[in-house]
Amino acid sequence: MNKNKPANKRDALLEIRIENIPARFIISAKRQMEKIAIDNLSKLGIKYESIESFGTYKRLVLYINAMEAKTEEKTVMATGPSAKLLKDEKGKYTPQSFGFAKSQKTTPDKLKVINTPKGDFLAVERKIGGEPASKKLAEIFPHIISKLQFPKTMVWEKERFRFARPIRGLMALHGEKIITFKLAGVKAARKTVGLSAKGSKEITVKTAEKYFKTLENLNVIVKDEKRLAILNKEISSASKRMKLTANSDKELLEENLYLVEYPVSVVGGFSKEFLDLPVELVHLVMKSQLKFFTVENSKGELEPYFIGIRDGISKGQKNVRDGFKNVLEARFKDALFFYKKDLSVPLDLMNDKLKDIIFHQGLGTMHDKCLRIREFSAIFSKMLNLEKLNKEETFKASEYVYCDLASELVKEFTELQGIMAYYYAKNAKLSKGICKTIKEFYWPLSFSSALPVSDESSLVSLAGKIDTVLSSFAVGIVVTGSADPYGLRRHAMGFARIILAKKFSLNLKVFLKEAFEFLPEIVKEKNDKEKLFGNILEFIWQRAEAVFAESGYKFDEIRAVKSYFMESGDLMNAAQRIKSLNVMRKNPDFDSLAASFKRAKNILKQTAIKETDIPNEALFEEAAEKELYKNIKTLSSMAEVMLKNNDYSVYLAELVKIKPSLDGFFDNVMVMVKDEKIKENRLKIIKSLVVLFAKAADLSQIQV
Amino acid sequence: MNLQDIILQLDHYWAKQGCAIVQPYDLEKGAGTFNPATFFGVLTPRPMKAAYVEPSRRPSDGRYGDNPNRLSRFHQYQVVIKPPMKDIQQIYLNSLKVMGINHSEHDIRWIEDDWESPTLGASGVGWEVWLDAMEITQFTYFQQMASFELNPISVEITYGLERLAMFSQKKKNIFDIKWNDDVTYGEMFKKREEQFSYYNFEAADIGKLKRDFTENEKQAHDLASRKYYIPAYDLAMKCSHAFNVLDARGAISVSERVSLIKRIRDLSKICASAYVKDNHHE
Repeated sequence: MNKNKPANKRDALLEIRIENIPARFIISAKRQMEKIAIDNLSKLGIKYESIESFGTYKRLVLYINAMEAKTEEKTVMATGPSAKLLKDEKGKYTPQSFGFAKSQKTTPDKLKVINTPKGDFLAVERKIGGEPASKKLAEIFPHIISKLQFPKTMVWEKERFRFARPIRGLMALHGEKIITFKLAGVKAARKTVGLSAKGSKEITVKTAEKYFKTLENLNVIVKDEKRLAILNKEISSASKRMKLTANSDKELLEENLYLVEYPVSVVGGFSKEFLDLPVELVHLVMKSQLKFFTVENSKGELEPYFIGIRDGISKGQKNVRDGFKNVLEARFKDALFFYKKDLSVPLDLMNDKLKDIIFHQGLGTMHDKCLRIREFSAIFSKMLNLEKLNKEETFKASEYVYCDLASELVKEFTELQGIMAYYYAKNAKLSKGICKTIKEFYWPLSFSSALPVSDESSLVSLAGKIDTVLSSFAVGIVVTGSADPYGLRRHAMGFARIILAKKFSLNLKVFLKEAFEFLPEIVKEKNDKEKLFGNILEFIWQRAEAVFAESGYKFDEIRAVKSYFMESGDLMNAAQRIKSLNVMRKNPDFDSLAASFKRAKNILKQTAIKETDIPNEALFEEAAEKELYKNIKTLSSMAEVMLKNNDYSVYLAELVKIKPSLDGFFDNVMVMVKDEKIKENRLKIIKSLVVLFAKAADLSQIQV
Repeated sequence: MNLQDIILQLDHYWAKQGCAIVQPYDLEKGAGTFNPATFFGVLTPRPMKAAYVEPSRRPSDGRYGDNPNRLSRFHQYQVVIKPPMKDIQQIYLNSLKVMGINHSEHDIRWIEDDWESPTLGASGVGWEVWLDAMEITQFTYFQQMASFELNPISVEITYGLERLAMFSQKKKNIFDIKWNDDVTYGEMFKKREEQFSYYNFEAADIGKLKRDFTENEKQAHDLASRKYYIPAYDLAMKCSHAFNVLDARGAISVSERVSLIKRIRDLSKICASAYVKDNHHE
């Protein structure tokens, strides 16, 4: 560590020792520490080779490699009043020069004159920097600690300092020097503690450079990378011994990495009967609840083994293995008890309980929600006219999508709600298609996760999502900032993703109009339909924007199509327009066309020209207006067919072709002439052009 | 170690740490936190150290004595300390040693688990402590009680005594735990579990419980408004228990649940307010 470092460059270290900080807080905290340190060190002119940060469940560590002993020296110039004010007519220093000198802690005779483009000014030259860097660290370190942000903080001592968990120790060193400061009632020192399993013994660290080694000798691996390597090795050698594969997904690895200071694997088995449980349940218990790695054979099937990770010591392995096994089996046993009980209940009887579960006040029960989903699926099916759709299965599946809500297992393992329905449907021997539709009902579960596959499951999933959004909006539930208790954003996002992936083209407004009628009367009475539908379209559009942006479209392209969507309610069609716009944009004439469109729109702003106003060709005077209008008419006659066939790219390409005549018009024709008749006629030409453009997109949104 | 010895060892250990060994409070409650020693105790600036066993009732958790891991009535060992010592985590870990649990031979982990009681208007930040993956303790720094921001902060350490005994005696069934060398847990409490499961799930008189709730609530408000916050709080605890039984009985709708919880929280709040006012000048 200390190799070839000049004596004036030593490492600096801050260790914040905390009572078990949650694993999920650590990565962000490390990143923040580094950033705040880098900003502040550069502000104060402290040079160093590199900065690193590390974390375990009980320490956050900032490490500055090869830090200069002194802050950087710099000359700074303070400028004062005009040079003319140095002395008065009698050659005496003026009050102004005295004042300026005093403010700079010097005397007037030390003042200099500098020349600037604005004239000559009095100035003082001062040297700054060259201070011991460790003195500055005594300010930076507590600053860093107090600036860290966490998902949740607490207070524990009388200063009421806020942090993720109580701070129980601070170590701050520069080389062998202690950086002295105090925070939250704790004084920085050169002491830390070793492994918890060995009683957290107090130890003294002689120099910053010896920190990692000192702790490593006590079986504490502070460096995340190194600890991760050990963890991976523990898991892979356990897998090898079993001749099986451990499922080491990234999240679980990360969580385990931050739950221990020295990873030691504990391998054990459990009774095979528990593998009859649904695989999601096995994963929930093993991974989410107990943080165990599951084990698979070469066919990807679960095997009755677990790999647990304990902290730092391999004494009493049998105790720990037996303990892990007992807890795992007890939880499985509990789950199996409820699962078997649920399987013995006839599906319709279980589903009947939905009549007692309120969806939301005013919106009836979950049974009522199922009925609406069935109706909504029917409306979708009618509007989309999908030839191969198995309607019977679609409707039947919609009745059972919530059947697990009333199951005993879901009462105990609420995370499995939406997953178990499939197993109960399968147990009731419903058809494969129905089971699959039930299984995929909640999909997509996140922004990037899988979508329902078949038409049947897509329809039912859409119906469920739009019912939640429509009915929630109808009873006045609003999504604000971070408050979205009913997950409406997720529903709207899923809705948009399915529509786009399945290329379902339909007018959402027409759908909502029909769907609205199925809401309870008291809810219907309270709503202004047009306003409600507008709000829902706006909400879905906002989510869709994120999907479009994710596909690589620019925000102005997306916004150019918004008014079209709000008008047509057709998200799929809107997507095609965005795509065409994106392609056409590469045409060199496109930007100036967009600019001309913006200009045309601006000209019309103060006028009352209507879409139906047609220019009187007899009033044309200039060749340029004749030429432009001829092109407009030609394109206009083609527009209907092209747009009907969704040939937006062709249409946009035709629009671009109009550019020369449009330029000719703007260059040669004066619109705002005195003759009102001619003026109005020319405005009508512009209006007809704007109408033509608007059929494709609102090009005024495009940033040129 | 039998369960009775675990209690004796813990009493002895925490008494040495300066805790007053308080006795269980003689009313039904869902958790040791409801004991007035904790509820009122954490509200004032005066330092406090107390420890006690608290039989706790969770009617919905009953399983007629059929399930080897579930009880409708169990025993918590609760420690409350204000302000917490700086090495309170290690003091807690040392308490496991007196039960014969040596940290170096077991895996002990602290899993994030913040605590909240909507009926008490209380919340805290802390952990579940896992001993070889078995949850044996809830360790919480209270932040709020009865909607009051606490200052100073108290730490609450709650041991699950049955869990510890199962672990120590290597039993897989709660009812096989030895209470002392002669009597098992099952002999003492299995019949109780059967009968109370029947009462809580099937027989409890819903109308009476609802009337009790309303009448107790009414009198609690009246008493607290006249500064008799201690009996008022007893009545609030009775409301809380009535709510728990009604819940197990399946007699509470979703919307009712929200409003009943709020009514209990309001009672906690007025009792706490009256107590804080009364102790203002100490």
